[in-house]
Amino acid sequence: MQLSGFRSLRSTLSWSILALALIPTLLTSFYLISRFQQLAEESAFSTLRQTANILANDIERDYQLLFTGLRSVSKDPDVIYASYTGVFGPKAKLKLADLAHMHPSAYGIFLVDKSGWPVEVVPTQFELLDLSPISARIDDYFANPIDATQKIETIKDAKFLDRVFKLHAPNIKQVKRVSDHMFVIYAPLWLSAVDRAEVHELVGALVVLMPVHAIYENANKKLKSAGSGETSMLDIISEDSLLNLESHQLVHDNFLSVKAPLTLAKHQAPVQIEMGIDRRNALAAIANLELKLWAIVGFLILLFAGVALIASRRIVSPLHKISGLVEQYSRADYHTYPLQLRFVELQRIVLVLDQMAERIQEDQRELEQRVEDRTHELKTTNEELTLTMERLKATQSQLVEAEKMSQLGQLVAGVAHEINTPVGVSVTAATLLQDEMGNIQAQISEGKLTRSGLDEHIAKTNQCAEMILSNLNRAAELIKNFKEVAVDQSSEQLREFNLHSYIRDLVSSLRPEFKHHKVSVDVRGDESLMLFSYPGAFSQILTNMMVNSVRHGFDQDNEHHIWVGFRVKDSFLELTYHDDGKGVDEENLKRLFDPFYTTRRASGGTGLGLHIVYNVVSQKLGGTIGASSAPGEGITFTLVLPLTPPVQSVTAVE
Amino acid sequence: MKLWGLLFACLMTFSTSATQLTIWHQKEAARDWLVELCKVYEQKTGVKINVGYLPTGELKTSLVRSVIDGDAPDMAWVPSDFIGDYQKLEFSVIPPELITATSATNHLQTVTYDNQHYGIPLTGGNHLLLYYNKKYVEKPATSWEELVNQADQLKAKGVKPIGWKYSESYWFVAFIPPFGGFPVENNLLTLNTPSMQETLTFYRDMTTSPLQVDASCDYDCSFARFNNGEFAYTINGDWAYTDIAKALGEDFGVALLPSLNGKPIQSMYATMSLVFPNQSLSGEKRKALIDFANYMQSFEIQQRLFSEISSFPVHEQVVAALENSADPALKVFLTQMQKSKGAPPTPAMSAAWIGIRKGFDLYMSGHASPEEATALMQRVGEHELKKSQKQSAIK
Repeated sequence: MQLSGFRSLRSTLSWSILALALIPTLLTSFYLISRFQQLAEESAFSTLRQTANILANDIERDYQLLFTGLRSVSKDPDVIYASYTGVFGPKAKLKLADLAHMHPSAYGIFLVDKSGWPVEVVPTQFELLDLSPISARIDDYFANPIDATQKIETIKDAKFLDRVFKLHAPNIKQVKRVSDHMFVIYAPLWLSAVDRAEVHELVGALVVLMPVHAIYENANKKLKSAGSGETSMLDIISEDSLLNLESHQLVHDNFLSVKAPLTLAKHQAPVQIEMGIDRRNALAAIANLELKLWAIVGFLILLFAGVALIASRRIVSPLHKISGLVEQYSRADYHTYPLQLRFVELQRIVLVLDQMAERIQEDQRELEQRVEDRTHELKTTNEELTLTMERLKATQSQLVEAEKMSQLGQLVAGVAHEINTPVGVSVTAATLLQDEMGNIQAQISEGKLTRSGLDEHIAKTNQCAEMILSNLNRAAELIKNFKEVAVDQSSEQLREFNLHSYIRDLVSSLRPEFKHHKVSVDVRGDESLMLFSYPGAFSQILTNMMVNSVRHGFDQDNEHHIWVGFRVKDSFLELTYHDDGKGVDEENLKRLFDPFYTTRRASGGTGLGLHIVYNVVSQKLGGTIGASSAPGEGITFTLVLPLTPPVQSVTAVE
Repeated sequence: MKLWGLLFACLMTFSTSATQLTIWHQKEAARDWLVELCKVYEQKTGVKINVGYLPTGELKTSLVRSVIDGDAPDMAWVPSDFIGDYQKLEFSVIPPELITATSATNHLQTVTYDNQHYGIPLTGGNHLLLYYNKKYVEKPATSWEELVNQADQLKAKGVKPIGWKYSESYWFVAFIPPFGGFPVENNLLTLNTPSMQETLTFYRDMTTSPLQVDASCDYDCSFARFNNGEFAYTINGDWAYTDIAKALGEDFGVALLPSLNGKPIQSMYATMSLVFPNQSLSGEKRKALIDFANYMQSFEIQQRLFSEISSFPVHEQVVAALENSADPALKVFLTQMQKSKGAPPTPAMSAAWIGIRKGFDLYMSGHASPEEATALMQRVGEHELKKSQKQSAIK
C-alpha cells in the first residue's frame, strides 16, 4: 500500500503544537510591529514636515538673500558703470563673484549691457556660453525700461542647460540632471547721476542662471550637512513638476513625502517643494526593532519546534513501536519480546496484538500441516499419473508397433491367400501328375500301355507340368512382390523408384484386402517419374488409405473406385488420393489425424492408421497432408511432398 | 565711501576760496608731495588746489563716474593711455602751445589721438624693468632662456627665481612683441592673432617651466616680497624704482627686460599727463588751469619730480641733464624706456585692455583654448570699441 499520500502523525502533532504556540506570538508580533510602524511613520512624517518647512524657509531665505544681494549689487556703481564701460569690469566682476560665491545655485551671473552683451560674467568659463537661447528674453526685458524690475522667469531648454552644465562642471562628462528647467532672474541696472537728475537710464541688467537642478542639489546638500541625510527633495512644483519625474518615479514610490509651499518673491506661479524620506531609512529603527523581534520569534520558533518535536516524538514513539510490531507481524515474524509502553491504552493494543499473533501462529501451524498433507497426496497422485503416463506411452508404442505389424500381417495374409491358389493348383497338378504317373506305371507294369495311352499320358503330364510351372511362377512372382513391399515397409532405405509402377505393385499386393469388395483402383500420373525417396513411406501411406477406404468407406454390395493421382509441381510432388466411399462428416474430419481416433474401435480399430500417415508425411517426407470430405461423397487426401525428402536422423516413426 | 567723503569734505572746506581747482591722481609717491606742492602753489598764486589721491585702478573709474555725475575734478594726473577714453571722460583738447616742457615725439604721441592733444605730459616712463637681487644674481639674464637656465641654481639657493604681478594685463602685453604681435594697430584691434595665442600658451607654460612662476602672484611679488628677498628677479614698473633700490640697498640691481625668442620683451610706456575732464579747460577756470599746467611743466618742478619722487620728467633740459649724469642703473632705466613702446592713447587700446583681461582670465582659468580666448578678446574688444564710438559722455 502506498503511504506517500498520508500525513505523518508526528509531523502533524509537531506542526499543531508549533502552530498553537506560534500563532498567538506571531499575531502579537505583527500587531506590535504594525503599531510601531504606524507610530514611526507618523513620527517620520512629522519630522519630514518640519524639515520640509525648515528647508522651504531656508530656500526662501536664500532666494531672498539672492534677490537682496542682486538688488544691492545692481545698485553698486561699479556694476552699473560696468555696463556702461568695460573700465569698471574688474571691480564689477569681483562683486558678481562675491554674489555667486554666496549663492551656489546661481550657476552663472551675467552683467549684460542694454544691447544684451555680457559685459562681465562669473564664473569666467561662462564667457563661453552663448546666450542666444535667452537673448530674446533679455531683449524683451530691455524693451520696456519702465517695467524693468527684478523678475524671475522659468525656462525649459535642455540643450541650453546641457551647455550650462558642461561649463559649470567641465570635468564631469554627463551630469545626471533632474530637471531641464532653469530660473532666470533679472535685476535692472539703472544709471543715475548724483548731480544730474536728468540722467536716469537703464544701462544693463544682471541675469542670473539658476538651474532647478542646482536648487535641488543644494537643498539635498543642505539636508545632508544638517544631518538630515535620509531626507531628500523629491520635486519642485510650479504649476507642473519642474523635475524629470520619470527618472525619479521609482525612488519617489519608495519615499514618504510631504509638500511645502515655497514663497518666492517675483515668481508669479506658486511653487511647492516636495520632500521625501526613504521609507526604509525612516523606518530604520523600526526595521531594526522588527529584526530583533523576528530574531526572538525565530528563536521561539526553534524552541517551540524543538519542544514540539520532542513532545510529538514522545507521543508518537509508542505508536511507532506498535507500528513496528505490526510490521513485524506483517512480515510473519511472530517472535515476540516484551514491549513496555508508557500509555495503558497502547499497552492494551500491544496485548491484543500479541494474542492475535499467537492465534495466527497456531492457525499457521495448522495450515502448514494441511498443506504438507495435501502436498504429500498430490505428490503420490502425481507419481501415479507419471507412471500411468509412462504406461500409456509404452502402450501407445506397442499399439503403433502392433498396428504396423497388423498391417504387415494383413499383407502377409493377403499374399498367403494369393500364393495359396497357385500353390494349391500346383499341388493338385502334382497330385494329378502323381496319379498319372501311377497309372502309367501301372499300365507299364501291366503292359497295358498303349501308344495313345502314352501320348495321352504325356499330354496330361505336360499339361500338369505346365500348370505346376505356371502356378509356381505365379507364386514366385507374388512372393517376390510381397518381399519387395514387405521389405520396403519395414525398411527405411532411400532409393530410387518409379512411383507409378510402385503404386501399381502396391495395389496388386493389397488385392486380397479388396477380395470381399468390388473395388477398382485407378492410378494416374507420369509413368516415367522416378523418385529418390522412401518407397516404404509411400507404401505405408497408400496402404493405410486403401485399407481405410475398404474397411470404413466401402460397403460390399456396391462397386467402389479409388483414384490415386500424382504430378510434379514447382519441385513438389502433389499426390491425390480419392475414394467414393461414405465420406466423413465435418466433426470427424477435424479429428481424422488424431491418434487413437477411430469410429470402429469396437470392430478392432486402433485409431492410429491416419495418425501414422500424418507423421510419415510430415516427418519422414517433410510434406503436408490435408483431407476433405463430406458424408456420402467419399474422401480426398491431398499430399504435397518435396521431391527429395529431408535427411532423417531418426528412422523410426511412431 | 570714505574716499568720496574725503573729497566732499575738501570741497566744502575750500568752497569759500576765490579760485579752487581740484586735481586727482594715482601716483603713490606723489601722495603727500603733491599736496605740499599745491600748498606752495596756493601761497604763490592764491589758487587753492584740492588734491585727491585714488589708488591705481580707481582713478579711471572714479573719473568716469565723476564725469557722469557731473562732479568731475578740474584736472587729473593720469597715465596717458586714459586718453583712449577721452570721449567718456570728456577730456579737453589741449592746444599745442600749452605743452611747453617737451616736444619729443615719444612724449607727444602718448597724448595725441586723431591729431589732437588731450593731455600735457608731465612725467615719462611707466615702463617695466627687470629688477634683481644681487645677493642671488651675479649677472642678470639677458634672455628668457638664460633666466630659465638660472632657475635651478637659484632654487638651490633657496630663492624663487622670479615673480611678478602675473595676472595683470600690463605685464602680460609686454610678452606679446617677442611673438610678433601687439594689441592694436592703427586703432584696430589685433587680439585674435596667432602671436597672441602663442603668447598666452607661453605665458601659462611658465608656471610649469623650471621657473615655476607663481600665477597667483599679485603686486606683492613684484614689490614687497621681492624686496624681502623671496625672489631673485622681478618685473616691475619704473614707479617702483626708488623704493626697490632703497629696500635692497647694495643688493639692488636693475636690467633691461630679457629677450625672448631673440626679440626683447617690450613693455609699454606712457607719460603721466595732466588731463582736463569734463571739458574743464573750456570752463571758467581755464586760466587757472593753464597756469597750474605751466607750473607743473616748469624746469623747477620737473627737476623736483625726479629728485623728490623719482618720477622721470619730460622737460627736455631736465632730461638731458639727467641723461648726462646718469649712473649705470639710471642708464638701464633710460635705455629700457627707449626700448619700450608707447601705449597708444586710442579708444582701440582702451577697448583692447578690456578684451585682453577677459580673454586672459578665461585662458588662465583653464576652460578655454588659446583660440577661444583670443576670439573672446577680439569680440569683447570690438564690442567695447563699438560701444565707445557710439557713446559720448552722457549729457
